[in-house]
Amino acid sequence: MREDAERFLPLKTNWFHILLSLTAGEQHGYGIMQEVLERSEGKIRLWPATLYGTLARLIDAGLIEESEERPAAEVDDARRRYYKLAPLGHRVLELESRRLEALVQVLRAKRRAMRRREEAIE
Amino acid sequence: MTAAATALCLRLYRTLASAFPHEFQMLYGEDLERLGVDTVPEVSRRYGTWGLVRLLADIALRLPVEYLAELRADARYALRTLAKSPGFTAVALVSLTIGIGVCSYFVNRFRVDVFRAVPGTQNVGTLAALDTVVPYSYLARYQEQPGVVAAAAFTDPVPFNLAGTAKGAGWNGAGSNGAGSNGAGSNGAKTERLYGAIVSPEFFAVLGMRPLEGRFFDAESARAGSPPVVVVSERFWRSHFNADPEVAGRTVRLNGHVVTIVGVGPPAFLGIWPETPADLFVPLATGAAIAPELARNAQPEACHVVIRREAGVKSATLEARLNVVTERLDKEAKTRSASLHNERHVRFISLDGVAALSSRDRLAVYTFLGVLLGLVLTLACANLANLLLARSSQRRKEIAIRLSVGAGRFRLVRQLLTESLLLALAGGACGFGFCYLLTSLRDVNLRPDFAMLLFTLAVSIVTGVGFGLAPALATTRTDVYTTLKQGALTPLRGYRRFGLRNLLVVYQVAASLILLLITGLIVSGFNQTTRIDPGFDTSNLSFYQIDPLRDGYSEQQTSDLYRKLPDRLAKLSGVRSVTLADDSPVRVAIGTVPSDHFSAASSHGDVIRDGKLQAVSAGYFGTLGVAVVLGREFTRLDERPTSGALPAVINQAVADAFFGLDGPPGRGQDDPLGRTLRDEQRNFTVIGVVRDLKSGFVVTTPVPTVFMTLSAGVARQGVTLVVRGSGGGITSDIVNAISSVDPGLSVFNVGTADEQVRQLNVAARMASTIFGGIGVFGMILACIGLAGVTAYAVARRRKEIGIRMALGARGPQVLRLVMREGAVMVAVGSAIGIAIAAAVIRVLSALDSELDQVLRNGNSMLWLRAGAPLLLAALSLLACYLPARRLARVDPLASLREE
Repeated sequence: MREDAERFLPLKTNWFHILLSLTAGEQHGYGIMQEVLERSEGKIRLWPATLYGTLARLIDAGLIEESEERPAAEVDDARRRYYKLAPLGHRVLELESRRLEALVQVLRAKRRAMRRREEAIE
Repeated sequence: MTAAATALCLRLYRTLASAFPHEFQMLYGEDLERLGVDTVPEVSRRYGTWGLVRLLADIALRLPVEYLAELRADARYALRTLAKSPGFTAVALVSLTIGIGVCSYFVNRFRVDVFRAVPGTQNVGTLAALDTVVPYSYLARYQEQPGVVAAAAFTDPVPFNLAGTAKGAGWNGAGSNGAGSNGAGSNGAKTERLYGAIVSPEFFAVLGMRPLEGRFFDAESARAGSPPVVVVSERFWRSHFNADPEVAGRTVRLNGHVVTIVGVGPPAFLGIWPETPADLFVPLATGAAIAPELARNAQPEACHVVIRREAGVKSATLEARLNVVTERLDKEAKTRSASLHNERHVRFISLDGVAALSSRDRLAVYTFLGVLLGLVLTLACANLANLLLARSSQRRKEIAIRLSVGAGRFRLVRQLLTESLLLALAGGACGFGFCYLLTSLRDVNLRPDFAMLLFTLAVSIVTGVGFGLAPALATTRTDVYTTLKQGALTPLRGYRRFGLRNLLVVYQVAASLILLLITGLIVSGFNQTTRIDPGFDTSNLSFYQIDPLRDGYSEQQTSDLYRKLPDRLAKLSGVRSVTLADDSPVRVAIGTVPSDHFSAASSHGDVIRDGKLQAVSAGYFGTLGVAVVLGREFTRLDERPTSGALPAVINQAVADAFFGLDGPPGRGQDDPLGRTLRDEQRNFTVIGVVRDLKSGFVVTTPVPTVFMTLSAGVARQGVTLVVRGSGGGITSDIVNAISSVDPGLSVFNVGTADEQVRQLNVAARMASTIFGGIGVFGMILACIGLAGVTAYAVARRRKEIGIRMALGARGPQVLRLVMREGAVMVAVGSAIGIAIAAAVIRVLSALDSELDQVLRNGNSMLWLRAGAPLLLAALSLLACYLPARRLARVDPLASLREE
């Protein structure tokens, strides 16, 4: 099961952003688009066709699924489909964030070593 | 403006969104559209027009991606379904492999054999060769003509004796052997016979060729008296020098002279006409030192000419100009030396592929090939279509369910087409492999290349789509309600007396019968027409070729040898008689096109232009056993040099043409004996008339032949010893005896007459294999198809048969019922096939006279015309019977309970 999740790594940028947007709970397409836009401060825009194409792939791959539950009635937009993370999606996101974390760790360690060497020279 | 742009953008967006694949739309179509409606104003506000363009680009780019994803899913599904019915898949694949493979193979053969451009040439479009030979002296005049960039001349390949051990890395050029007076390989190794063209020095430059190694000829090699040099073919370089990159500068011994190799020709280049391949290219100037052909006349009388014309000059214009020049030159030559030649008409032969074929012949070749291969391919395709139809009945339920839950018909057709396309592509791949295998078995030069792969691919796609479409449409045109209610075994709605499937079966029978008849006619016709019948008794007759001139003999020595050798060999035990000829009597029959000119002072016909001059020595006709009709044959006395007219023996064809010899011999109105004949250079006195020898191949009229006595000066390419023994193998004795006369004398092409006849019959054999192969493959395909259809019909009618049997029908009765239906289709197909075959044969005969001859010979064979339909009928009924047999074992209860 673990290898199954690993086969998606490294995660494509669009996939990563969509999964990230769904961590908080179910969300519809427009919401995902908006969230990604805000999070990236307007730098990353998932254009509609790309968004739905990617959502279709994510569903095919079993990372997300359509949500049966609707959010609270006052925020529910009845006309839209909602999506949520599937268990596999959770695992993939977890693995991906660990992978990125490890990379950042490596980078930090290298920087520390560099700084120490510079200090030693001084 | 912004509002208008937004509205336009929204409209475009909606159109694009509605073009997405059906399944995608079912799931996301609505959301996608709504998101667009929500986003467009916002994007427009934020990014302006550029943002709208970006939005549209996104959706436009996404469209093909989604369709590809759908195609991938379809392909995966198709693979799964195909894997689930391995029997169907296997039969379809075999059909397609045979059909596509055979087609590719023959198209490839024709492409390589008939339509290939000369390898290694550049800008082949501006190159042209003359279709006749002209004296070398004309070349300079051609070069002067406006519109001619350059011109070069070359001879037909002439023989060279190559001394040294052939093959192997350790082969040294004969230069290390030291110069023996006799010239033959002094290390005792075998002398090899090679063929080479004598070319004008600019030959390779005119063709625009680059040497693979070394260089081509330079100004130095154009000078008379310069050290002899040779350019060798790539083939020779590989076989004799192991493709040694340092080959330039090494020497070989040709005709007893040391010759330096200066370079290697381009890959696969064996001269302009590969049917007469040349491995050596010797420049004219240095050729005189090593080629006996040029010993007397440094400028050959019969040269081919290749012209490079200016790109702006029309081929037809230049052709006309050169024609005028040639006619003028011929006229001058005629007044100078009273030549028998008419003025020559030169025409261009383009070297860019469609070689030496007139447009009429080309049409015949294309039609013929097209008809045959079209039949093979459509047979394979009909099989595929039939199998798909048969299968579709099994899938009716699946299709009906999918239709009822909302799948579009177009979508299902696409899905089914993907399946047939996959099958066809797999079949195409196998077919290409099959074609590759066939060619590797025969000739590596025929290897299909990338263009052939593309051709095969195109054929496969056409097959897959063309023949998958009809079944796909038929399958999806179902009445969902009835199908779901009645189950999978309802008859196809398309099943009628003249339904698609029955038409296909009739077509298969007809097409394979056409194929069988045409190929059968051609095979038997070829066998009859081209079988070499030498016209004399070949038993205990053997041939040995020697070429003393090229082994370093002088002309005088050669003449002495020709006089001495037959007497010496005749003394051997087991030898009845020995004679000499300038070519093997078997090969003469199919040699070059007869084009010698003769004239006689006589009231009947004055000039023969398609005659043949042969040189033979005393006792030739006696040794061969050819009857002398009138007068006598040559004796030793005739061979003495004479200043007056030479004695000549003519055959009946010449006698007829000149002296009107048609009644019984001796009583002729015009006695040919003692009359005078002349050719270009000599006068002859007729001393005898011999019976016509039947000439081989398609030419059925005997060639007018004048025989003269053989001497070293006449037979410049060696002689053939003709030995009639009294029985048993004497070939090695003769070879030993020749060697004992002079160990340096090399003996080539040793063999019995029977062997040579068999070798020459190879053409007939090859035609049989090719056309017979097409016919047999066609028949196999038709039988596979019939068996498949019957098997399907049997499966489909299980229930009906079950009812019949429950009502009291017996197994044999049921069998008869099914067989009768098969027989009707076979009969209808046969009738149509015979009619069409007759028409096609008519057309082919009208198109090409040689084909006409062949077909007419084959047509006379009753066994073929009756046999082919009977054979096919028998086979197809067998193909019906085998699956139908199962019907007799149908258990009525079991089949009725099924549902």
